[in-house]
Amino acid sequence: MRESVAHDSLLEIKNLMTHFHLHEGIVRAVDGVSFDVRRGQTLGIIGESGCGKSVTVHSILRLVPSPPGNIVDGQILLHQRENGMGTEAVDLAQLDPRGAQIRAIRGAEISMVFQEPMTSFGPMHTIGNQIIETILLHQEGVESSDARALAIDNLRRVGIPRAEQIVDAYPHQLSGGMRQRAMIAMALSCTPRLLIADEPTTALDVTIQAQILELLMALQEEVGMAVIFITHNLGVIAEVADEVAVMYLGRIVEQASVDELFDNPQHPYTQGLLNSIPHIDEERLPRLRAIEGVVPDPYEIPSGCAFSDRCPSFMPGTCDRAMPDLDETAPGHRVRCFLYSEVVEGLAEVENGE
Amino acid sequence: MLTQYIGRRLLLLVPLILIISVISFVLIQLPPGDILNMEVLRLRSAGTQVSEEEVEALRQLYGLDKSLPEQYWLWITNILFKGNFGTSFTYVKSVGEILAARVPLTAAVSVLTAIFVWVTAVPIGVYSATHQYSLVDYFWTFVSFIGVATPGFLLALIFLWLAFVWFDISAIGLFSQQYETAPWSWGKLVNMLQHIWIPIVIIGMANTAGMMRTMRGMMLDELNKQYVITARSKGLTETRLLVKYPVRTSMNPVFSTIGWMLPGIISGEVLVSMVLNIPTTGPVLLQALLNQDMFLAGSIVFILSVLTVVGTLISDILLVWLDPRIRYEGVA
Repeated sequence: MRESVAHDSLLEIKNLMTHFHLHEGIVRAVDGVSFDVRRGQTLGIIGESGCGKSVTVHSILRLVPSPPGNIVDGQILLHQRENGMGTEAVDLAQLDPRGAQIRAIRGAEISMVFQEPMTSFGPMHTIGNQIIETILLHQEGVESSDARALAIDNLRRVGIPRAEQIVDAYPHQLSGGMRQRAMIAMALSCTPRLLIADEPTTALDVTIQAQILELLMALQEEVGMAVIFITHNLGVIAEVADEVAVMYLGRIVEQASVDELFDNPQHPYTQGLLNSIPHIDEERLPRLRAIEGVVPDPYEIPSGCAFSDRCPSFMPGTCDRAMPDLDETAPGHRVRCFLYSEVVEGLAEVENGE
Repeated sequence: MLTQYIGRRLLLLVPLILIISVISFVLIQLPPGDILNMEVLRLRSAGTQVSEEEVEALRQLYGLDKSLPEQYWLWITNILFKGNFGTSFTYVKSVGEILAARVPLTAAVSVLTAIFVWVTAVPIGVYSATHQYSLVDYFWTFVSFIGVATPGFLLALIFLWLAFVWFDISAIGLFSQQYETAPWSWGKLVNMLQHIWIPIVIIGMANTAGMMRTMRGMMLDELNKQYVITARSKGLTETRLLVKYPVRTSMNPVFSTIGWMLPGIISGEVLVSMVLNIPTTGPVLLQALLNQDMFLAGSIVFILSVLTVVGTLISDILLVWLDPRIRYEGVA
């Protein structure tokens, strides 16, 4: 299916399917997503609201509420710390979401920063209390007095002034930017190898956004962790990512290195996204070029390619009959579109194909 | 900062209690006639001759001949400086004595009821919220609707009837007959504990049902908040994160009700107490109001109001102490 994975992969997701079983029907929020995250690299995932990017990363830490959400197929292989020669892989998709194994990974090996800095901390406990809690949970042999010092160090590392006082502050006493810094401090307190950042700058104003992005990149260099960065902001993704995956309705439609993707977008959806960025330096400001149509209702996804009903390059008789595969069009550049892949004979057979 | 806040609230209490005392006094005086009219009527209908002089003498004795402000002044100064609440006409005893006999039992019933309410409502509410729309949730939702909708006295009547029909026991009162007038002893205490759970469950039912719903609703709000997912993403166990974060945040309504307990300690549940014949203060208040027993009724109303105010203050202080958001924003 895919070329064998290079040894420097930290996380391999293979054909992940996370579905929500609701009264109205099944929502295939994530429907066959595969990607690798390499050590120390940043993978950006981009897509509109509801495209499944958040559900994908929540699936990794098994945070999808069940019921109604279930991982129905696929693997999430986490390559544990090297012991001797090889690496040992755990399939997170097989773990009990409440079990000890996934809890030992959460916050220690993989940690997460969320979109809403206003509500990400519990309101009744101090910032310090919540950071210390994480440290004591995962770092054996650390006394609570040492943990406090560690928490202060972590706060200082993310650029929080007067860290020894802020450690005793309650979340509501800090500004949004400060809270997001504290959130990052907490996420990094146990030196994870993978940080999942789920739209960490979306709720912040633009100057603070830039500061947080710079901070994240600097810390990534310092700690050497890998990052999955979710956003719907193309500018942000260009800034932080090494590799970019574009998602549409639960599937990756295009994946490439960040330069390749911005220089040579191939999928009509990616092209639409890039075209919709307004350019201030154009001579005559044109109308905003939005992608035609709206994201379809999750219960009425068009047959064939999910983007076919909005696609400017729609090919009748092809695009509405089968879902194209994610094929490599150039080294490291994969696209899910019939414009680039061989039209397989006997299209009916590849219905639901993946 | 906290002591300053408490100090300011305590200062505010003084004028508030004075106003309450005036209102209590006026309320008691509002109905036409007074206790002497009732007393004279009673004596005359019993065939006793009561001369106008005798009535006047009584009037002077109780200070009823004085103007209302004077009467109020006498009443309030006696309470404040001598701890003397006056004399009950119907019981021919001092109000203090009557209350002293009943308040401890009332307090016992009220405190135990509150504990019963918390111990049952909080866990059930939490469970219902974390297992929303499960069979258990539906069951408790059903029970709590019945509990909220059924008046306590009706519940008491049904309970008495069932206890009598099924188990052939009389669930009335707090003591068995042989202990009713006996002095306190180990046996009497045990006997009381055997009886007291009945009023506790019945009085607690409505509150438990309400508190369960509140707790469930609060928890459902909190469970979907980002900080719960954050806590989970740190690797905490489900129980620990529930107790530390959403349950703790949802407890505010529970702490607020601690204040309401105080007046309850004195009043008890009047109707349930009447039906179950429990010697709490509730029935005394009702009787005093019916008889226009001015000093008794006025004192109870006054004490209840003061306790309500003090209880609210205690609740507020508790909330300020427990919730940092209130502590730092509300108390500036």
